[in-house]
Amino acid sequence: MADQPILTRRRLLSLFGAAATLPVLSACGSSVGGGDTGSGGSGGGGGGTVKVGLVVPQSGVYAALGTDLQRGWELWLQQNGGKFGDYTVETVIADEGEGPPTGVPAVQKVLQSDGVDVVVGLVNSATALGVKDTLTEAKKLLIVTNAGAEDVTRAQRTPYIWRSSFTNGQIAAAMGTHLASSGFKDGVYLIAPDYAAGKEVIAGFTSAFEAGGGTVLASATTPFGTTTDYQPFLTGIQQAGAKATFCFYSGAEAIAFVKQYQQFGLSSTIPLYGSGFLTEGSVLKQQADAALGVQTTLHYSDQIDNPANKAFVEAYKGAYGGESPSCFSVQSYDAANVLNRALASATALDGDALSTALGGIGTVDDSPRGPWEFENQTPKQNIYLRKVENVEGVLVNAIVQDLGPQSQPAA
Amino acid sequence: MTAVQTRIPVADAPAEPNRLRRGLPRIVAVAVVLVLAAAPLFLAPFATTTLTRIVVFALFAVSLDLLVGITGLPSLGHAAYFGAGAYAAGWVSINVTAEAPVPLLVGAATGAVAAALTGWITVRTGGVFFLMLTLAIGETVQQLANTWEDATGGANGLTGVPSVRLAGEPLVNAGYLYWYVLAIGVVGFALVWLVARSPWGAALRGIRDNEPRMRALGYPTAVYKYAVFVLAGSVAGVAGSLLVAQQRLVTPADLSFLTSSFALLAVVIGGAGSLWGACLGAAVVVLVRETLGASLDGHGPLVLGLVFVLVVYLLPRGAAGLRWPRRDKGRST
Repeated sequence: MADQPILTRRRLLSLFGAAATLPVLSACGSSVGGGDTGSGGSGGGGGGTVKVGLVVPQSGVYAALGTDLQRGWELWLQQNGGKFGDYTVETVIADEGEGPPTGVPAVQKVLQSDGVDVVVGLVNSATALGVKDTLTEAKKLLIVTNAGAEDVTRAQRTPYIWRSSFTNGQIAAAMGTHLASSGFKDGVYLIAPDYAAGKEVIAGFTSAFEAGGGTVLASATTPFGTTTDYQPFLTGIQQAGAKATFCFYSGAEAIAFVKQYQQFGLSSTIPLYGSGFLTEGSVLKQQADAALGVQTTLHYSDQIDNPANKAFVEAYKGAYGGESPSCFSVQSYDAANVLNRALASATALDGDALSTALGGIGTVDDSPRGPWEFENQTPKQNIYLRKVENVEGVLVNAIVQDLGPQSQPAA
Repeated sequence: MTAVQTRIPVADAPAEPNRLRRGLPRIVAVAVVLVLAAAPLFLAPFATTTLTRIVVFALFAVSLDLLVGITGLPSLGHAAYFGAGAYAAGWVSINVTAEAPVPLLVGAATGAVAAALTGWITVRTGGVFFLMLTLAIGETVQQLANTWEDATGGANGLTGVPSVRLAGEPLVNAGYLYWYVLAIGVVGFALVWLVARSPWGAALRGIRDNEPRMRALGYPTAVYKYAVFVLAGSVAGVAGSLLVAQQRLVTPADLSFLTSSFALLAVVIGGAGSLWGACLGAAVVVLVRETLGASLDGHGPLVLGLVFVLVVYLLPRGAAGLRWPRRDKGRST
């Protein structure tokens, strides 16, 4: 008898403190009958309040990115009195987590339980693609602030999903065109992780590069998320006789790849080019001097020389203890900006009205990334060629060249 | 052991409460199913959706419990069969038909076939080797899901899965979908429960407790373990097809190590070997991870970890190890 855990009332209470979650379930109503369009109900107008569900990663490997996204969103609201025109903005934050198993329920929660009017956020492409049905059935608007999969605004395009960030191919295509016209017509070696985004980057680069008259020397894919030692691949690059390397890595993989590329001695002989996430945000600090000289393309750098960006960078640093903004901060900052513009002309807060209004906002002329406009619901924007430089002891992505406006590549 | 302990106080108790106590589990089971069935009439769509996810995950956890708790095979890659069933059901729904029994049967068959192909090797090992092999299989299947883009959609997942159809009618309404999932879930649970109570189930427990002795008694233990591995894979495949019916999306994350370990966590919280305990554990995992976790400022995984530590520390036999304190406890022993 002694080894049998005996339940006391107190122990039961302490254990099932988790039962505190039950009020979530006891939200009254009925799920049967009726149109079941989702919304828990605060809904349209609500006396001049617009309720926004900000779904960004607060836990897991993308948490740092989520922090930047949340800061960008909050900074815009702070600068504009927490209002979109006459509407007071109420933000509900939900944790997207690492992938669809947590991200999809988080979107459903803000839509159905919190009854938000608009959803903003999403880092993971599979999540962005996976919530399409939920949004379509609820007839609510989503502004994707990161997820770069082409399909979000191409094969799977719906009027309810817009994007304020980029597409994987768009970033890479600008680099493809640039390298083809700058003396690397042959001898470019491609390397990327073996998953959807890596393949889109390679495809975007290759088609633009070939359109510019270039031919790819060779390409390699590395196992996604599990590769820590790139030496075999670096040997391959060397043996192939490459004149330049183009790669796509982000997060921990970007840190490892850039460091090993330099340690292996390739950075001095075969220049490294990449999609901008290679050296964006927090990874650059950890790559340290190994990243010096790496050139990337992206739709933003905190070094862009325009008045809107200078004011933005200064305000951002002031608000968040001197930390510089990243492209992620700008993506959600601009999401707030375009929602504000759309609400000026929107007749209602449902997805159809907002979608129509977003279609008519024209050029966003006060963005830190420079002027851009929606084209097929995703930004047509200037892409910048950037080079990692040491400016007064701090590594930055200095602007080398503005490569001009770039659309999402056609399928 | 448990049986002996419950019999002691009952032995000198009058006949009436004895019969009542024996009938109680049945009454509770019927009551729980009735409450679950009536739930969507009173719950808002989001709560119903959450409940649907709990039922799906509970069936998955029950199938794992059949391996871990009943047979003593702690699998680290059980999500492979769950995910395989989900992908197959999703693929069939998109490309062939979403009419009700079809995705379900395809999911079950795929789970069973996948388990049959891999189980032949795994059940011949034990202990750490079984752990490592199942882990490796799980990782391999996830890699396959990540790279076989024509069938799985790669890392972006299999999207655009149509609603499951019952007699030609798509089950779009959250409540109807819940009833569909609940009905299959209850049938699946009953199936596993019957197996666990059958002589075969008793033999599986024997294998768990002392395999050499069972072999000495003439039981073909490898065949028994192989059969239960395939059955567990099949039930996991059914759970997978329910998953795709609910979220209409399958991604490689659904068959990741994380999903396997959450199922294992549900089994441990509930108490390995107890099927209803696994359901309870699944409910805790889904509620903390998805419902509560979303609004915890990113502390969802932390809370889940705390729950796990508390359960292991306070309830070494999980929720199923709980007993109500008896008044006559002091006197009877």
